[in-house]
Formats: sequence, C-alpha cells, structure tokens
Amino acid sequence: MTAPRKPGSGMWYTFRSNRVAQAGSAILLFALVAIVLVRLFSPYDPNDKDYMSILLGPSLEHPFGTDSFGQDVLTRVAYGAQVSLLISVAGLVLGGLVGTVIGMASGFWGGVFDTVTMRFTELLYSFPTYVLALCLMLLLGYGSRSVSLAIALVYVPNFARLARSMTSATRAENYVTAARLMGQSPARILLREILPNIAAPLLVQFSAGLGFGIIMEAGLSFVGLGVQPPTPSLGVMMADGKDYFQKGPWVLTLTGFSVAWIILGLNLLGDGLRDALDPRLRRRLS
Amino acid sequence: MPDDRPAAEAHVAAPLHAPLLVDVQNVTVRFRRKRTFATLLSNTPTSFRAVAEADLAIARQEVVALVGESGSGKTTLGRTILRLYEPNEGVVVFEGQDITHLRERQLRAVWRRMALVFQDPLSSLNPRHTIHTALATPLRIAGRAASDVEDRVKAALQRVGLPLDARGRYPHELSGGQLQRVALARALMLSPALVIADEAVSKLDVSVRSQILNLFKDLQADLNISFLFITHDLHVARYISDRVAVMFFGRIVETGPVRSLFRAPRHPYTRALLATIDDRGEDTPQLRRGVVDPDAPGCIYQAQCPRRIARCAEAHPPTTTVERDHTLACYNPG
Repeated sequence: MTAPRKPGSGMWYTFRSNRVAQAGSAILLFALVAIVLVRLFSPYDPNDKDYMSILLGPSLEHPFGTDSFGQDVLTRVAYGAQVSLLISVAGLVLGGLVGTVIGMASGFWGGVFDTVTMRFTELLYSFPTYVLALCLMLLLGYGSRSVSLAIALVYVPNFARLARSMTSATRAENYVTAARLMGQSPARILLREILPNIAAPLLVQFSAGLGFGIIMEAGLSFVGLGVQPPTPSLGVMMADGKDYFQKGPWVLTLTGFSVAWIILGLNLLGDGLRDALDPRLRRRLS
Repeated sequence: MPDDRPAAEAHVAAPLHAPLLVDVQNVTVRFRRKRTFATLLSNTPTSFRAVAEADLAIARQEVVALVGESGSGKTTLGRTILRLYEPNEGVVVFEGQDITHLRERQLRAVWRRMALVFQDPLSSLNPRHTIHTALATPLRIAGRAASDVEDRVKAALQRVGLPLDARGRYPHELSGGQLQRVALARALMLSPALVIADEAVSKLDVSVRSQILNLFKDLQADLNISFLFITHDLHVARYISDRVAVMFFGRIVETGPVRSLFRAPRHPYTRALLATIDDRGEDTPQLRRGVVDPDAPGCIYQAQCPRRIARCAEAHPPTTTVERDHTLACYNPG
C-alpha cells in the first residue's frame, strides 16, 4: 500500500522557504532562546535586591542595567516575558476557541443565534479595546488570571466575526454542497470541510493577537491592575521604569524594546503563516 | 410498476414503461427576492418563480437531458430533485419514496443514492483535501473499513482513467478534464442510482469535452445508473441522452425520445432552439424576440411565438401526451 503524500509536507516546505516567515521565526526563536538562556545562566534572581548597585547603566555585568532596587533588568525581562507570553497565550487560546466556535456556528446556521451573537459582539466592539479590558479587570479583580480572561473576552468578538464571515462565505461553496450530499453531518462539515479553509486567517489573527495580548498585559500591569509586583512582568517593569525614567532610561527603553522585538517576530510569523497556509498562493510561490 | 407513481392519475405526463427512479410532479419552486427600498417602491413581486408546474420522470438506467437557455430553471429543477431546494408546490418522488418535505437528517440516506457533478469541478473539490481524501470521504461517511477504502479509491481512479499517483495531489494541481474525472469518480463512489450532471462538460475544452462525455456514456452503460444531464448544449444532449426535456422560463414545454424530438420537434420553442444548431433552411426564428413576463397569464412562450393563437393569452397550455413518451405543452404545435 503506497501511502498518499501527506498534505502537511508542502505546507511546511513553503512555510520554511517564505522569507517573512523565516525572519519572524528567527526573531521569535532568538527571543525564546534568550529567555531560556538567561533563566538558566543568569547569576541573578529576578527578585534579588542589591541596594549597592541601584540604577546602574548597561554594562557587561548587567547588559540591560539595573533598576531602582538594584535588580538585574535583563533577568527580570526574561522572567517577565515568560509571564507575559503565558498570559497572552492563555488569553488568546481561550478567546480564539470560544470566538471561533461561536462565529462558525452563527455563520453556518444563521438565524436568531447569529443575530443575537453578532449584536453582542458589536456591543463589545463599540468600546475601545483597552477601556473594555479595564472594565473587565474591575469586574474580575486583579491578577494574571484575570488578565488572561480579559484578553480572551476582548478577542472573542474578533474571532467570532472573522470566523462567522468566512464560514458563511465558505458555506455557499460547491464543495460544501458536495459534502452535504455525501451525507456529512454539520459538525463534520464545519470541522473537516470549512475549518481547514478558514484556518489561515484565524491563525494570522492568533499570532497578531499574541503580540497584542502582550501589549494589553503590559498596559494593564502598567496601570497596576494586572500582574502584581514583585512578580516580574513586562508591564510591571515598564511602569516601574517610567517613575525614574530620567535617572535610568534603560529600564523602560530596553524593556519596551524587548516587547517590540517579540511582537515584531509574532507579526512576521503571522504573515508567513498566512502565505504558507494558502495552497493557491503556495503554487504561485514555487 | 404502478406503486412508483402514487399520483399517476393526477397529471398527464407520458406513461413510461420502465420502473421510475425519479418522478417530479407539478413542481413549483419560488425564490424570495431580497427586500430593499427599491423593491418596495417599484412594487416588484417579492418572489421569483424559477420552476413552474414541472413534471419530469426519469426511469432507471435512463439518460435524460434537460436543455434550455441559461436562466430557464434547469439547475433549479435539478437541485430540487436532489432536494437542495424544497419545492413550494408539487411532489418529488425518488425510488418510490416521497422526498418532497424530508428534513436534512432524513435526506442523508436518500443522498447516498444520488450524486451531483458540478459545472466547475475545481469548486466542487475542497482545495485543502487531496484527491485521496476527496474520494475516500464518501466511503468513510458510509462506514466502510479502512482497507476497503484504499482498494475502492484505487478502483475508482482506474475506472475514470486517472493514474494512481493522482491520489496525493491537490485539486489545483490537476487540469479541468482530470478534475471532472475526479468529480465523476467521487459521484460514483457509493454506486448511486442517479447522477445529476449540471453542465458538467460545458466549462471544458472542446477536445477534453468529448473524452469526458464518452466517459460518462461508458460508465452509465457499465454501472446501470440514471443520468440527468443538465445542459444548454444541444449537441451534448443529442449525443448522450435517451430522452430530452426542453425548458423555457421555468416550464418544461416538451419532452420526448431524443431521436424523435430532434427529428420532429413539435413545440415552437423547441423548433427555434433546434434551428440554432442545424441548417435545415427553415425559417430561422430568433430566440428571445420579445420580453417574457413569467407572471403574466397565458403561455410562457407567447411573446416570442410565431404560431400564437388567441387561446395562448388565456392560460399556459396543459402538458399532453402526443405520442408514446412524447409530451407537449402547446395549443398550436407545429
């Protein structure tokens, strides 16, 4: 029995030969490796306070300098980035799943459910994202779990609307009619016929959302609603850094640069993913 | 088999001699128009009648061609037989079962016995599934064992003349002719009783068209399936079918065995249509001379008809049997 060619191989190949994706993966990989290396080999603890070395500028000893407690900024960035990334991933996974399920259901069946959910997402949309997240934090209480939930709730309408419009467009495709005529159940049609065809934009949304989730975590922690000190998170650190920006500008700048670096990587990766996941585009590239 | 026609006395379509597979009786399909301010102001009707009072029977192992211009309701009628549309009036009987108002859940069992081949094969295949997946899916749905699936996919590809290495390919990697072979292979996967081919060759190159047409013909003969061939191409209809039904603006105006219909068409529209493909030197009537108002009383063809008489403005002529298997809806046939 000769096995038919696996569908994944071509996709993986284009993904790897896509320059944007390469750049994005490289940037992200660099960030992840740096986080791991710093955690493994840094001589400092993120919460080690050293009052003899307060607000030292970047040097070989402290590549990102030290903050107002004499803590090593690079070490704290590595720990903080991990906290921020986990919060963001958790929020996006939850929001993406819930939003996609709701969106696909309303796009496929339409009707009252569709009307109700879409009006609800419009309601959520009418708030500026950050204001909505702030309100949710006040309802949910402080802490990293609440930040994840807030990110998820902010992203449910995004995923729902995206999934809905693509599902209702895909539903009219002939191959979906063909699938119905084969006797496939709605659940199977949604999962096997429609989802693979709408997955690419959802994945792009996911990776772009990860970056935005980090920003949102940073923003919420910056105003003191998110992750609570002394736990290092990128937002906590930037909030800290702004207080003594004039004395030690490296704390805020280098932490902010790390955030920008990770987000750049995520966005480039998202674009690369989009290209690689579209088989029609794939042919054009090869 | 009289059991196959529960309402046989209710209408006057031709009595067919083989057992019926499909029996469409007096079917009307309306589509709702989108309501906008423009339609409210201009007082246009809120629905559009795509098929009107259509009778069509397909016997087992019969090939019926449904011909007509684009917009005549051929596709709608085909999809109503598949019950992708629910008719507003009339009855659709398939294999002796009234399927007119079945729900999708109940239709799934019926759909295993039917298949549809689309005009554009590329759009009918999921771009993210390999050919193997496309062909294996109907079998998996039907609950066939995995080892069985492998063999059947191979057999199906061989049957339609495709190499086995096509299995790993994606639809966009194949040509139009190859794709239509795949679509046909998939349609035949569960050995259906009826295959509806909706303009299945009209998008193909002329050179490929005859190959695919021959493939349809060979497979029909081998597998004893009924075909409903929806086409605007009269050459295709003449080549492939046993019987032809002619549609004009939602109404079936004439049906008959392919030979007698092409030799001696009776309905003025059929005559006009056939005159477009051969040069018999008769008066060459132009198609679509006047404007057709599908909601106006009287015969649907009266605005264009050269043989119009007074009665034509009163009501659409009833379908009558003029010869064996030959039906006609005309007061003043030629």
